[in-house]
Amino acid sequence: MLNSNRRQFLKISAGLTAGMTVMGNTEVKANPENILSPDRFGVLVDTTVCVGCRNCEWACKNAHGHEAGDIDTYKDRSVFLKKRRPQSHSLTVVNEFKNTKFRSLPIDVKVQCMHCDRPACVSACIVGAFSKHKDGRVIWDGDKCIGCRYCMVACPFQIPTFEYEKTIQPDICKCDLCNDRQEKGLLPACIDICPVEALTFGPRTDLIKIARERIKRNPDSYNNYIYGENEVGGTGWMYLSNKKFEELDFPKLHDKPAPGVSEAIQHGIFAYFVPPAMLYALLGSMMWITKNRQSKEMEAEDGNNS
Amino acid sequence: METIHNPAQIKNVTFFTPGVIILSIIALNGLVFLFGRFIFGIGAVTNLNNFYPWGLWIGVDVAAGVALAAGGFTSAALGHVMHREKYHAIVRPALLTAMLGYTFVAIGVFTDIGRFAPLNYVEW
Repeated sequence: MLNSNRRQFLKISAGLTAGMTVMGNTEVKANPENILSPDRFGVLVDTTVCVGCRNCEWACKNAHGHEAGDIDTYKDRSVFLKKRRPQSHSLTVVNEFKNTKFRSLPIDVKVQCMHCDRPACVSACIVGAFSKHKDGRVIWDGDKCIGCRYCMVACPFQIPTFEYEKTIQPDICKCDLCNDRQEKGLLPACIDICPVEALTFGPRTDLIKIARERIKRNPDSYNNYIYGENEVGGTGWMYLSNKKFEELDFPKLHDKPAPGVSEAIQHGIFAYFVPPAMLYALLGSMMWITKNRQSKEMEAEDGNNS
Repeated sequence: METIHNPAQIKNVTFFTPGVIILSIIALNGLVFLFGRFIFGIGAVTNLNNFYPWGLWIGVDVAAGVALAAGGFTSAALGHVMHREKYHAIVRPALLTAMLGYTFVAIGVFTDIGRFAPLNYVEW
């Protein structure tokens, strides 16, 4: 009796462990490999060049099927009185800041998704709706998204936005670096339309060289810092400015990738399903041991009674 | 053993005690906002926005619902896994509470998320 119980238990627990290990191998997403191409694209934004015409906002709305209106209405500079953030219907916005060095030249900063090399949204998404394309763009897949807004909590730049006004099927909206246009071989809309070439699109490594070169040539007009070169492990969009970036509403971030520690812990805990299987094995053995002890006690009691 | 598993019907107990009435009023209040959410959207009833994508909502879901369930499963573990027979009497009510806890977490999350189509892919 005892032996057969023991054999059964061992069989069942071994089967469970094996099953879980197999499941773990097939279903659990392993550490996302570094699929990034070394020639991945980025964008260099030179805020000393930007004139704040907001044509990029207009082009972005057109490219993403949002109501754009007439381009002439974008000449209205009174919108700069307020600091704006990307919304579900405007994926990029330009904010204006006072220039302390040259008062007549305000600093205009375009805000949109930074397309991080190690994106926190991709790591945080529980259903894998976000992905990092090997060419650098971070894109959102509406077929997978369940709308939990974890990405919005995770993003160090607070970029993903949610269609709060929609009851059913609200989208997560953020810059996708014009995924559709890039698939067709076109430039992203904002870069295409920029009249002063404040935005430079190209391989990220080249952009860093260009940025360094610009700072070297004009050390007086630039703050010697490329925002985005190392922030949260490097971002696709990088900024040059003549002011400290904290004064331009850029968050001060460390150089480590945002998902680094949490991702390591998560993937460590669930690697090959070993810890959950161990937990079940522990509980199972505890169940068996206590059951065994109890039946012995009962036998002993029965013996005493009779 | 036999004395422990001796279920009996509870008799002559009024259901609508003052406590239950107060809780029912709170629940009805919640139902009003539940309907509001499906008419005006999640932003209108929770005041969440792009800066605060998660709020008290998640705290109630996760901190209350899951914690309620955890207690039930711990009781079940005491009774059935560790075979402490004296806890058997409370295992059933505890498991019922736990089940309700997780059910309300699920209902709460369903109300929260808004995109249901991908859930078809989840293997239940």
